[in-house]
Amino acid sequence: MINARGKIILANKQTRNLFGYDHEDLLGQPVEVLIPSALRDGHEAHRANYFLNPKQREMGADVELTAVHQDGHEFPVEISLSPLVTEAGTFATASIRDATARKQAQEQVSRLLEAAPDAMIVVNQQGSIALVNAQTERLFLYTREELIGHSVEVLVPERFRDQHKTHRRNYFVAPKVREMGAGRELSGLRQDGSEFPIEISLSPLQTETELLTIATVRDVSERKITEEKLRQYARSLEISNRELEQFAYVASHDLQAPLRNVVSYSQLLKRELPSLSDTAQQYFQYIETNATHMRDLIHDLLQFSRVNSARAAHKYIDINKAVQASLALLETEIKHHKAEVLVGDLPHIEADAGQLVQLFQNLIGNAIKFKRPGINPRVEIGSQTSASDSHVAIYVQDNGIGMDTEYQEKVFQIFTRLHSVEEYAGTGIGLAICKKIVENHSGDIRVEGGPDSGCRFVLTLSKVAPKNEIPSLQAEESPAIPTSANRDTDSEQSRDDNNPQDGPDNSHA
Amino acid sequence: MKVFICEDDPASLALTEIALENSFGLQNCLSASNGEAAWEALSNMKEAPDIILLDWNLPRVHGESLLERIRAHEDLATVPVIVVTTSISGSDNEAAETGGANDYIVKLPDFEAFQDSLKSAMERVLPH
Repeated sequence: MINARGKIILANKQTRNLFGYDHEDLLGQPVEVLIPSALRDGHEAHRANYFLNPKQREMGADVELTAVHQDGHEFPVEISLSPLVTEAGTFATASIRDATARKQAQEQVSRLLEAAPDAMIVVNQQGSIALVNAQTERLFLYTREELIGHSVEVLVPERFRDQHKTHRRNYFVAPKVREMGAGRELSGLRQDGSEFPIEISLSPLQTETELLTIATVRDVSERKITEEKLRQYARSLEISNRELEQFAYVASHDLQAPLRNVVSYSQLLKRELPSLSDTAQQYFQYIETNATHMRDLIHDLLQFSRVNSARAAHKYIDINKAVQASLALLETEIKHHKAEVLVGDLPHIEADAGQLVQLFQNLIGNAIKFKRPGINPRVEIGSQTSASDSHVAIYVQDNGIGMDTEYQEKVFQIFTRLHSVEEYAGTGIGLAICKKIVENHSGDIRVEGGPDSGCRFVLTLSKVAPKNEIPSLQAEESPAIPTSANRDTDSEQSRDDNNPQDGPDNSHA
Repeated sequence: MKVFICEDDPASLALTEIALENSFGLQNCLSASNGEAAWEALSNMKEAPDIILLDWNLPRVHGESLLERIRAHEDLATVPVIVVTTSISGSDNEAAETGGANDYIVKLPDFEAFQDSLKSAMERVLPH
C-alpha cells in the first residue's frame, strides 16, 4: 500500500518474499524502488495521474510490466490497483503477482503456434485477428502486422464474406472443436488476390478475459491436384475396362456366325458322303467336339463380358431363392448324376439376383461335374460366420475330386483348367465368372480342401450394395467398338439370352 | 410359295435354301445380300412374296430399318416376316417384335435343329 506521495506504507509477507526485502527496508521507500530504473520516471508520472482519479483497475492491461528484485534481477509482473480513500488521505493498494510462469507458458504457446505445420489464426468474438503464426504469413502473403487487428474476412474471398460472417457469429454461440465446411470446398484469399483450396478446423479458446477461436488452415492445393489425377486415372481405367468388355462381347458375338457354318457344313458334308471310313468318322467327330468346345467358349466369354459391375442391379433379395433358381437350371445334371444338394438357411442381402443365380449355378454345376468316379455327388450349401459385420459368408462344399492346394488361387483366373477337355468338359471361364460376380458384390471367393476332402468354396458378399465410386460413368454409354453390321447394345439382363442352346425359347411362339 | 431371303453371308444363305428345300421342297428362292438391294427388289416386285426371311445384321440398310420400311409399304405391310439372326441377345428379339416381325429364330450351329426351327416358324406364321 502506498500513499499519495508514492511512499510504501505497508507491504505484506508475499510482497517481501517476492522482492527479497525485509519489512523495515521497504517502509517509507518510494514504490519506484521496485521498478527497474529505466522505467522509474514514467512510473512516477503514471502514479501521479492515478491519484488524480483513483479507481479499481488492472494496471498496464496491454503493456508488459516488469519489476526489480532487491538483488537486481528483473521479472514480469501483473498488477491490479485499488484506491483506499480515508480521512487521512487517499492510498493505493497494489496487488502484485509474479507473471514469470504465465509468461513462459505464453511463450511456449507462441512457439507451438510457430512450429505447427498449418497456418493458425486466433480470432476474437468481433472477428478481428488476434494472433497469427508464420505459416499464416507465408500462406496468405501478409505480414502479421498487416493482419493483427483486422477482420478475418480479409482472408476470405469476397463472394463468401457475408456468409462467413454469419457462420462466424453462429460459431461463437455454440463454440466447439470441429471441421469447418466438411463436404464443402473452401477457399482462402491471398494478399495478391489469388485463391487456393483450404481445409479449416476450429477450436474455441477460453481465456481469462475473452472467448477466442483458433482456426487451423491447411493449403490442400497439392492434395486436390493428386485427387483429380486419381479420379482421371480411375475414369480412364473404367473406360478401358468397359471397352475390353465390349470388345469381348463383340468378338465372341461375331465368332458365332463362322462357327455355325463350320458345324453345319461338316454335318451336311458327312451326309453327302456315301460311306465313311473309321478314320473319316473320327475326323468328323473331332470337328464336332471342337466346334462344341468353341461354342461353349464363346458362350462363356459372352457371359464373362456381361457380368460386370456397371450392369449389376442390386436389390434386397433372398439368397435361398437364388440358389433354388440355380438348382432349377441344373435339374438335368442333378438327375443325371443322382446328385444330392442340401441347402441350409441363407441370409437376405442387397445383390443382383441374376448374377447370384449364375454364381450358384456355376459352383453347384462344378461340384457335380468334378465328382469322384462311382460316388454320387453330394453338395452342401450353407451360411457360415463372417469375418466382418458388413459381409455374409456362404460355403459350397462337395465330395468330389478336390483340388491340389497349389491351384487354389490360380483356379479363379480366366482360362485356367486343371484337367483336359477329354477328362472334364469346360472352358476355364466358370470360376472366373464367379470371382467377377463376388467382386461386383464387394466380396471375395476362395477354395479350401485338399485332393482327398472335396472342395469347399467360401464366398463373402457385402450385405449392402457397393457405392459406386464413379457414378458419372453409370449414365454414360461407353463408345461401342464398331464391327461388321453389329448393332447389339446388349441391354438385356435376362440370363436366358446368354445361352445359345436356349435359342428356340427366344421365339415368341 | 414365294420366299424372299435377305442374307449377306453366302454360306448362311445356302444353309437356309437347303433347309427350305428339305422342309418344303422349295427351290430358286429370291434373295438379296444387303439391305439396300433387298429393299430395291422388294419395293419393285409386281407381286409381294408369301414370306420374308430377314437377317437382322444386314449391311447398308440394317434389318431393323428394312423391317420398318416393309411394314410401312402398302403391298408388303401384311407379308409375314421371320427375323433370322446369329444374335443371342434378347435386345434383338425385342426390337424385332416391336418392329412388327411375326417370328424370330436363331441360326443354330446344329443344322437339323436350325432346319426344324425354321420349319416350325414358317408353319406358325403362314396362313393355312
